[in-house]
Amino acid sequence: MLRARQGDLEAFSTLTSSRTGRLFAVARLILRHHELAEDAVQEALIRAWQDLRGLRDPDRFDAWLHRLLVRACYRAAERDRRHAAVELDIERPVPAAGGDPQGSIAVRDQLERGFRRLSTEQRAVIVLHHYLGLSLADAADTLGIPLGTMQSRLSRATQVMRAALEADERTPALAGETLR
Amino acid sequence: MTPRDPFETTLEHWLDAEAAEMAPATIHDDAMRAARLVRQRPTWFIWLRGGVDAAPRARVRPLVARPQVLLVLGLILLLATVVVVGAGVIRQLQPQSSTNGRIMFARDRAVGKAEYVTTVPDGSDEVRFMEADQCGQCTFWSPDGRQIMIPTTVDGRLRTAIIAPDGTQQRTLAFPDATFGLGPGAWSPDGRQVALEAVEADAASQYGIYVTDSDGSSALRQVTTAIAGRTDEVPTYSPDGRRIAFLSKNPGNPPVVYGSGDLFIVNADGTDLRKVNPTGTTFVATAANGRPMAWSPDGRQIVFNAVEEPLDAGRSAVYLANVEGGDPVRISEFGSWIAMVEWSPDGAWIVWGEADNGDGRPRTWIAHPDGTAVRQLIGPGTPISGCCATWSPDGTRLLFQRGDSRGNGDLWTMDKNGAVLDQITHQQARYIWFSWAPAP
Repeated sequence: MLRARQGDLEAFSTLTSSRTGRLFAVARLILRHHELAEDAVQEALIRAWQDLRGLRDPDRFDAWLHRLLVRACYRAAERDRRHAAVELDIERPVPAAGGDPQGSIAVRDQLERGFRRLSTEQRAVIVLHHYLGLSLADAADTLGIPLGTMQSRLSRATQVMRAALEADERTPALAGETLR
Repeated sequence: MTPRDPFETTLEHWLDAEAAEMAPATIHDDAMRAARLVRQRPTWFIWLRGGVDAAPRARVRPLVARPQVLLVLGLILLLATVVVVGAGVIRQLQPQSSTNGRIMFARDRAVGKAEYVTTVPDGSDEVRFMEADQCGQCTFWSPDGRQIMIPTTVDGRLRTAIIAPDGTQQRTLAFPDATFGLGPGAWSPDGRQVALEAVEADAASQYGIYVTDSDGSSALRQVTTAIAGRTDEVPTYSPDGRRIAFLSKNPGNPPVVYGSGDLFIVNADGTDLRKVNPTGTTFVATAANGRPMAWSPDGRQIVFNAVEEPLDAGRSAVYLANVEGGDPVRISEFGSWIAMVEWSPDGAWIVWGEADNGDGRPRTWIAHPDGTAVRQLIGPGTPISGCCATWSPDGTRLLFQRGDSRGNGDLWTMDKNGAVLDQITHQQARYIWFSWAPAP
């Protein structure tokens, strides 16, 4: 860390190489777009390199990097706002019968659809809290928002997602009733 | 102990599974290559910003607690005072005048002919100076805002006339050759010359772009000779007046729009003719709403629309080309037909208008010339319906038609952020052509 702060790019590369995969996962989850996630990770790493000298508390490096990444994701999402089309996974491998540890593929699809309905900010709070496992306070710190805002945003995002799943579950039944 | 919500457990398992997608192998190397090109910020810069940790406790700390912030604020205040006082002195020494003059528009009320009108920017003092059918964007402000070039007919032949903004003082440019017609095209930036387009002629060699003095004092000079079977139209001078861009219209193309073919640039003396739009694309001019290409204010670049083959698919985008050469660069996403493109007077922004995608809602976009900072001003995703926009001469406003899906509406202004400012006209109609002149 010390060498990286003194301008040693190789040291910075060593410092960040083991973190890049996780950063990409976070960006990919928040943005739901492969290329945009790549861009966001690259932007965050460059920003980190530029500003590393100003990081007063090296123990906060990971939190700081996540904050830079989330901001880069927001910017990428804003740049991409005009793209109506959302990246779709063309072909998701279907696990063999009994090989889906979390239940049915339908549930995963419902989660996927619900998650896409969230705003970028809502996805960010879910990813930080439920994927990275940050406490609400740490997630709020990373996002630069008050704890209360974090709590309400997470609550709202969870509500939206639950509602989306429940609506999805109801839709076939209603269709079936109509057919009868 | 509160039992864990099964939904959250399911969600976390799903997030883990989704995140299992591997990061591209090159992502870290690419980032380091990019980082190599940028320097770390100097410590003094970060010191002034108060560090980068920016934990919430730093946000709530009063600004006055940081002496460096006070120092910088003091310097900024001092500098601003000097600038404001200086600007006030300079303003007092200079005559006050707005750079925005009258607005000209063509209003089609679906009854009779379209009326061509000028008005002051608050919408008052409408003056109707012409009526016409099938004319579209055929009237052009002189660069000083004192005259308008219009089409007319003499002995059944298309001719060009110049009038005052109130419709008086018509002066028809005299051409000795009655075997072809010449319609209005563009004013040179100094207003001394006009470029005209021959779109009806007895001989094939007569089709092309012509130039003459706007006061009629010089002989007519043919700048281009159209490719066989084509016509050269929509001439547009570069800001320095040395070059002319124009549409080489190919009537053999599918009749999906007013005119389509290729974009060419030629020196005003007829030399150095070059095609601009990329191979495999078609340049398109629509009959209304605005010009299909625009020069940068410094004259070094030109933006234009181009449609990928096949033409009738209408897959269109905005391209930017360097006048001195090189491949054009696409600066917009592909969309529907692009009706107009216009460069802001300060060169910082490009606005373009795009036909609807079958949903009845055209789209108007703004972006920097390199395609960054793109955002939608009009259309789906914005609170505004309508189409297309043109800059005020001082670059502070955009004039646009705000209307319904059938194209009926009124002219309004907005700023470049999409904030609606003023309503200019109060008569629902299709405003098929509008442009804004500088104050005389």
